Amino acid sequence: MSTQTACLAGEWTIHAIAQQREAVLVLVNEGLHVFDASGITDLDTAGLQLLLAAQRSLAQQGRELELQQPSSSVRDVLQSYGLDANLLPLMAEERAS
Amino acid sequence: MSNQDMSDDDILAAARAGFLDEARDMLRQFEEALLALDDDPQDSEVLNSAFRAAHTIKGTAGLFGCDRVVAFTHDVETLMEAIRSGQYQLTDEAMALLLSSRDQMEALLGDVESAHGDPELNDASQALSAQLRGLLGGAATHDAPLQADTAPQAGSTEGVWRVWVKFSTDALRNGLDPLSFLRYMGTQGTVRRIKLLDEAVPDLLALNAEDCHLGFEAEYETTGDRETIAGVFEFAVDDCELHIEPLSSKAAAGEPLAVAQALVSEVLASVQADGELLAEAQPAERRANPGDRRKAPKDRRTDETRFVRVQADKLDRLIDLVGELVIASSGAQLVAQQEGSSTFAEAALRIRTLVESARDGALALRMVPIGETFARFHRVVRDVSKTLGKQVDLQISGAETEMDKSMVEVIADPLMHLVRNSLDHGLETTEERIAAGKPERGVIALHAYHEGGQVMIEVTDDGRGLNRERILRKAIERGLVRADQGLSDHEVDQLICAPGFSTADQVTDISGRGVGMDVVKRSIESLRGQMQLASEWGRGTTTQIRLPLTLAIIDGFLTSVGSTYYVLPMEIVSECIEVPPECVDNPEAGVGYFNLRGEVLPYFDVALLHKIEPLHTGRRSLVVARDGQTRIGLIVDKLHGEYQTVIKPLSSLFRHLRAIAGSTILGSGDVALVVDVPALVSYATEATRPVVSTFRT
Repeated sequence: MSTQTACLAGEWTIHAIAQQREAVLVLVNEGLHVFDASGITDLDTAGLQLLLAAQRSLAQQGRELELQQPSSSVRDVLQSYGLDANLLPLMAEERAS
Repeated sequence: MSNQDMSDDDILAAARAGFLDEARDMLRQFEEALLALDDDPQDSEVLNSAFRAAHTIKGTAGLFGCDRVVAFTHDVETLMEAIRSGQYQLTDEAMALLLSSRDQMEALLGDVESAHGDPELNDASQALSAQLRGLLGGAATHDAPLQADTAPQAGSTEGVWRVWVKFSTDALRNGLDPLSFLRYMGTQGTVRRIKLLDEAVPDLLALNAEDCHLGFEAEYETTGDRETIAGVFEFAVDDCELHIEPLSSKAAAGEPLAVAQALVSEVLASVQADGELLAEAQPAERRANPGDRRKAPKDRRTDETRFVRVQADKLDRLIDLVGELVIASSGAQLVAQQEGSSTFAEAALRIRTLVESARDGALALRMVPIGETFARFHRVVRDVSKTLGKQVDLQISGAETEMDKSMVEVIADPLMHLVRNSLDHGLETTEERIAAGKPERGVIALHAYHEGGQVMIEVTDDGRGLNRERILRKAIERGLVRADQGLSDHEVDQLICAPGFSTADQVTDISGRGVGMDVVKRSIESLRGQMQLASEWGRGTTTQIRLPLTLAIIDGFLTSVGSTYYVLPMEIVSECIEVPPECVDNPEAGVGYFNLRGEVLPYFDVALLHKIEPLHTGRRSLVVARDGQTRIGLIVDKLHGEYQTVIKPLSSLFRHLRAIAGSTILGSGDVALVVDVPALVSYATEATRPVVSTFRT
């Protein structure tokens, strides 16, 4: 159960973010912490914030959020905000915008 | 915030009016904040408020292409920014300059509105701008980053800036995605380093996913200046907190010092790679307690969103219309009674109740708190007390008291005069106060409250009070009263409101401009209000103004003489009695005196007013009316009871009519005249005077 992967999909933007939160809340409560993000078609700051909140909830349970195969939209947002695939700051390297 | 829709000229014009309106609000906020800073220069919240106000004015002015406003406000903003960042200490000189700048901004905005393009304004702008920059010029010599900021742009060289921005909770909902700003920054320069500020993000359970808890801190390389960077966030100005700070001087090529500085900044930046040290003290402090700090401005914003701006004349039309409805519905009720149909009567009654509540609702729309008017006196008191060399505190209470908007506007001038009078004549100089054993600082208090369906406004000072001897002497000199008249202290106090009376021995530029208290009194009375003075020698003076809540409607008492209806304002009616025998004995005179429980009062037969033949059948009545301290009996044929109605002003054709304030239409279709009681009382007093002399001799 601990290595089970949940698939995140669809639009992760402000318009749909309330429903996405419900879904993620269920997954996190079931104990899942590895997420396949290849199905996320669109991510905005609201979506990223939801991922960060999930990370926070998982950390409280002593687990780490893991994002697998992020879609290009997800990668793009993470990169813009200087975060790595596990939502941790990429502070070491210089980043060109 | 859909600026794209504004292609249409009409929409633009409307938006422009909105902008000017908003800019005036911002100017008010700016002024209030400056004056609060004058009291407590350390209050950073107020400083930020002043800064935000200037920034918003500049931002929106830019949107509407008001370049002169933008250019001037920019200099104001630069000084504010320097004060905010502690690079410049707020001095009295700077405060005076900022206040004059506020006036200049107002003038520039006024010029935008009138579309004059007054060239003199430009000169004034330039002079003030130069002074503003001059203040900073002195401070910047020992402050490198600022110098970099204000130095002329070299154009090709890139500066490194630290941009710290935190978005409001509503930012995402308002369609502002921090990401889009970040990406836009990328097109204007290079984001060299980015740190997401996500400390405020709660866990999943606590998260309202549409709230925004994020911000970012970026190290940003750009050829633009601070203004250009701030411009990126311009249309999110209400939804974000922004700090921009130079990290390197925009190194002019070949200047060793600047190059060294840039290098140091680079090194520093890499040392502070974890970003925590990078954060300046202020935002760090904000992050420590993000909750309470953000709360106040946020709450204010949610308040603002609940308001709708409506043009006053639209509101007036609505109230007019509702007034007609009230009349029409009483007409319908009357018909229902005549027809004798109980179902119709019931329906008419129901309509009437609804219409009346609609009218009350419509009138309530016009109500605004008086606080805005009061707030402007801070500036007056500050400026005037400086000019006169007096130390004065202004105390305000009851700023939330509501009254009709049109009255709030009209009342401002008389109040201004009263405050200036208190400053100029009422309060003593500091030396005189010390000599009199009073606290050095004089106090002027503005106090507003509701009482008995009326608004009371009091202007109080703790100055020297009225000199009754001098007032009386002067009044006798000018033939306003006779020496043997034996006036009470209170009556003497009121004399200074008599036309053509002024006691100032020395005319100053503050209140000695030919506008006396009589003008103040008259403008209060034109609002159906009353003004009273009370004074204690050596202790101070209080001017009390009593105003109706609204001008559009009157709580009246309906009476009739012959077939003419007269409405007396309810607030002046103190009692109704049967016509006393002493009046009945002498029915031809129509004027005289009667005995009210041992007190002798003048009476006046209203039938004399318009020479109406009174009904001699049935019992007549006497209404005891009160105008301030004066009481008078008014004899009428019939009392019809309480009557609330919308007043219609008389057309100019009837302006010469004495003692009539307006008219109204009764349910039956008859016209009723609304009595202007102060005018009636003075008319009646005149009419009774010959009686007085025969009475005395």
